[in-house]
Amino acid sequence: MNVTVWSNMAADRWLSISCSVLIGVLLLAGCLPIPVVPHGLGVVPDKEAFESLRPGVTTRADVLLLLGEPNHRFDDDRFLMYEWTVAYGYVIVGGYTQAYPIPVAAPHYLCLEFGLDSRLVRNEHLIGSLYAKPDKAIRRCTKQSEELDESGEK
Amino acid sequence: MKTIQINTLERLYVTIQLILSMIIITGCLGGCVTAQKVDPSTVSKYEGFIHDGETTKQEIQDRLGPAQSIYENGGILVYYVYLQDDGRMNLKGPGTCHACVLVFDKDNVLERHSLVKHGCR
Repeated sequence: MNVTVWSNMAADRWLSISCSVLIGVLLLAGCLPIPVVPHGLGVVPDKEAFESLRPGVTTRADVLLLLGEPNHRFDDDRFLMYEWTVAYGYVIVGGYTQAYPIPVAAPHYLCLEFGLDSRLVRNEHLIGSLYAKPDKAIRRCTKQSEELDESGEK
Repeated sequence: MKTIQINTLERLYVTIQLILSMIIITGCLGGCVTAQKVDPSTVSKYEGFIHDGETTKQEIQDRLGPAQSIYENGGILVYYVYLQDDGRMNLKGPGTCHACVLVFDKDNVLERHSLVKHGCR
C-alpha cells in the first residue's frame, strides 16, 4: 500500500519536474514567447488625438497640427498613413552570459483619406499580422472610399 | 516549528512571474514615446517671431530656410526642430526631433501652428 502511494507521488513529482524543465528550456531557448500587456514601441501617435478625428469635420491641417508628420503620403496627400509598432510578447534569446528580449510585435496603421475640400472622409485603424510589411496595409489604405463601398469592405 | 515546502513547479511559477513582471515594467516604462501636440504658445516662447495672424510665410522661410515637408501647395509647412537645454529651438540635433507645423491662410499669413513632440517620422 505504502509502496503504491510512494510510486504515485514519485510519478507526480517526476511529471512536474519534467514539465518545469521543458517550459524552462523552451523559454530560455526562445521558443516560447512570453506574453505581455500590449504596448507601443518607438513613436506612437497620441491616442486621444486620433480618436478625436471626425470625418466631414477634421481637415488635413488639423490632423498635421495634432499628430505631426505622417509616415506615408499617397496620391497627392489624399491618403496619409501613420505607422507604429505594438509588442504583444517577448522571446528571450542569448547565451550563458547575455540575453536579449526580442519583441513579438505587429505594425499598426492609422489610415486617413481626405476629400477635395481637404476634409477627412475616412479614418481607419489597421492592424497588421506579426512582423508584417506595410504593403498590404498601404493597398487597403489607398483604396478610395467609393471602391470600399462597392466591394462591401467598408 | 512549521515547515512550508515549495515544490519545483511552484518555484518555476514564481520565477516566470518575476520575469513577466520585469518585462511588463520594462515595457511600460521604456517601451515607447507618444507623438503629442503641446501648447501652441510653446513655439512662440522658443521662437518669439512666430505669431498667429501676424507672421508671414516669407518671414518664416527667411529665418528658418526651406521646410522639411510641404502640404497643400505650401499652405502647410513642417519644420523638424530640436529643443535645446537652454530652451531654444534648433533646426539641427542632437536631441529629440519634434515637428513644428505651420498653417497659412490664403494671404500667406500664419493662421495656426503647433509643436508636436516626437512628431518627426
